[in-house]
Amino acid sequence: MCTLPDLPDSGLRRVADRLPAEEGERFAALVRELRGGPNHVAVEFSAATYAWLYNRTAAHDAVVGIPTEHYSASPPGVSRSAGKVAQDVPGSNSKEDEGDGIDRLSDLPNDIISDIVARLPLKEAVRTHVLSRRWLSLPALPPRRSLADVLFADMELTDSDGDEDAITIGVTLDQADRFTELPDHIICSILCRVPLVDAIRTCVLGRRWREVWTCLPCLTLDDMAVGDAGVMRFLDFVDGVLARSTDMKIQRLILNVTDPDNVDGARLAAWSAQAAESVRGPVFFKLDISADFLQGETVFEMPNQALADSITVFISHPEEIAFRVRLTANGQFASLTRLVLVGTRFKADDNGRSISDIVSKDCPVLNSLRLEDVRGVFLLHLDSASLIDLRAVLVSDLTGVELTTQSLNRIHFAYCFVGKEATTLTVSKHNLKEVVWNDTWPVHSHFGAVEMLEKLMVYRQNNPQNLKRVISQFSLTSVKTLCVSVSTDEDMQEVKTEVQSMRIPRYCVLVIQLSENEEGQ
Amino acid sequence: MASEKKVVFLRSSDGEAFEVSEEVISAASVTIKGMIDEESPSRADTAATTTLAIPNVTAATLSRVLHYVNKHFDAAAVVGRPDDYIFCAPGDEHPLARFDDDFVDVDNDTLIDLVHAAEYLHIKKLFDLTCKAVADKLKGRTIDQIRETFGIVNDYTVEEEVEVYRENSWAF
Repeated sequence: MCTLPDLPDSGLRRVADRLPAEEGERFAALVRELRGGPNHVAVEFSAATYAWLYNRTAAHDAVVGIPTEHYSASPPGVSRSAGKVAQDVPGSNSKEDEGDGIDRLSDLPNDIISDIVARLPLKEAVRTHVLSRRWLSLPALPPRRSLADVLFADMELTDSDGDEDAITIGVTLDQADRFTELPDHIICSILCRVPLVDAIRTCVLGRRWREVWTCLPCLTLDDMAVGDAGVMRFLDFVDGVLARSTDMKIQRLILNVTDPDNVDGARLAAWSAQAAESVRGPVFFKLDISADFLQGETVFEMPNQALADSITVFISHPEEIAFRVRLTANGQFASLTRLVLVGTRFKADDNGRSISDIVSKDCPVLNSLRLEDVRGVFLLHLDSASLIDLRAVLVSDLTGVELTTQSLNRIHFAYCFVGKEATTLTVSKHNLKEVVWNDTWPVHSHFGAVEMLEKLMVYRQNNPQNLKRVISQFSLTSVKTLCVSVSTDEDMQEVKTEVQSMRIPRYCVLVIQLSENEEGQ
Repeated sequence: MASEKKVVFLRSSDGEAFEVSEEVISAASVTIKGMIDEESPSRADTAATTTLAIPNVTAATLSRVLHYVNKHFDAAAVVGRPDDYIFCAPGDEHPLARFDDDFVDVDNDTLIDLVHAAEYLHIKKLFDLTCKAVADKLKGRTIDQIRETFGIVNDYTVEEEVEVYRENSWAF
């Protein structure tokens, strides 16, 4: 390999590196010579590079039929053409007219010159017209060749020449943009890191770019960002994105709306249906609307042929948006492993089926169910073999919970039963390891046998009397870690004396933590 | 463990060989780890070092990649040279943030060579870094600016271009 550390441009260096040592040196000398003048223009380099390579490729001799001795002189006559270009550059002084002074590049047949010019970026190709009369009279510029053509052309050369590197040379030499030539999946990896609007707008760059964005695996539809990018109508934007995306495999869809003008019940329903069809990963709908602009009801329907593995509906101010979620049930949520409803009002579907029915019958692989700030759920009766994690916070209408959940590992209840009478909790089948309780203990409760709890966490803040009641539900001999959360130092002292009377076994770790009333996630 | 570190040689597409610690490169590149694992039964207990051909990456790119890999994946180098930490600004997320910024501050061709290499060698951190660097060059630019930056040629006919704009009018 020939190393030419003083060659300034990496592209040219690559060319030089691929040539046999002696020719590489000549090439380098040529480049240095051209670069040395104050009048160099990119076109000289490109033309010189190609001409040099073509001249030096034995295979090309066979194709064009020019005897090899024509090329033995060095540098090839392109320096002359370089000098001609220089005349068009203001303030330049032509000094390249040395050497043998014969312009063999211009002597090449038209089709060869066209072939060379076709490899230049269009702008530079056009500029070759001013090289000389000879170049001006060339037939109309050939259409730009695709990468495949370039590769193919070099393959032909390779076949007759046996030089494996020729293919690579063809690609590196194609001064046209290498970005466009990246494979779809890499372009998508790049566009994923650009705001969605910018990514979509690349469609006008050129033909190659027209459909690339439709392969984007992750879509973040954020009305603030979209508005900042100058898109006036967010609703139309989302329609447009989703309409073009029906065939593609979306791995993640995030809809984030903060402007009440951008909430439209009918369109939300349509979007959720679209999402259900095309998203194979998480679907996240977040309506973060900060004032009570919204009146009336919006029904968000998630049809259950959904392929999504996680559905999150998050509404930040449920009092202000009477927003109802309806999961329609005509089949199964076959892939759904995680369902999160925050700030919504659950609405039974047309068949009167509640969330309990849907989770129990239509979600065969659901692992995690989170209900926060949810209304419209009175009884939670779950019969699921797959459910591992259940979290219910501020499910304000809830009075009864019945769980037949053999895999259930973790339950977390907060503010569901406070101040209610006749509340019941029955857990008949479970595999509980962790119980987090920030709530009044229900009036009637029944737990199946608890083998060993890794962690029992009780929040004392709301219900000082409740602590004992919760702890008494579990035999302390089967608890590894007991956590009690208190809000003041005094409470902490109280808890210490309270707990001492409870005869905690030695192996049980007691943690009393001082924290705000609001639980940490 | 033996005191001398095992090394492998990587041969670039243009024939230059680079030495790198086997442990470091295995941690960095899934592709090379796969190659080494494939090789290892045949070279167990032999003194001969392995040379792996990396046919898709040129010497210029490979040396850059290895520079990155040695910075990021050689635990000894990172821990043992506290000067890296001294030179990082308080706002930097990690000690190598400055290094990374400089690393991708290169011309477009070199950057795209790096993207290709990172993808081929399956070095996720480097792939993320280089993709992000390209993305940063796209962000907030007008179409004309992007064309200019990357030398992208508009090969649409006027009619086609109008049609593309119409088709995606909701994004403009």
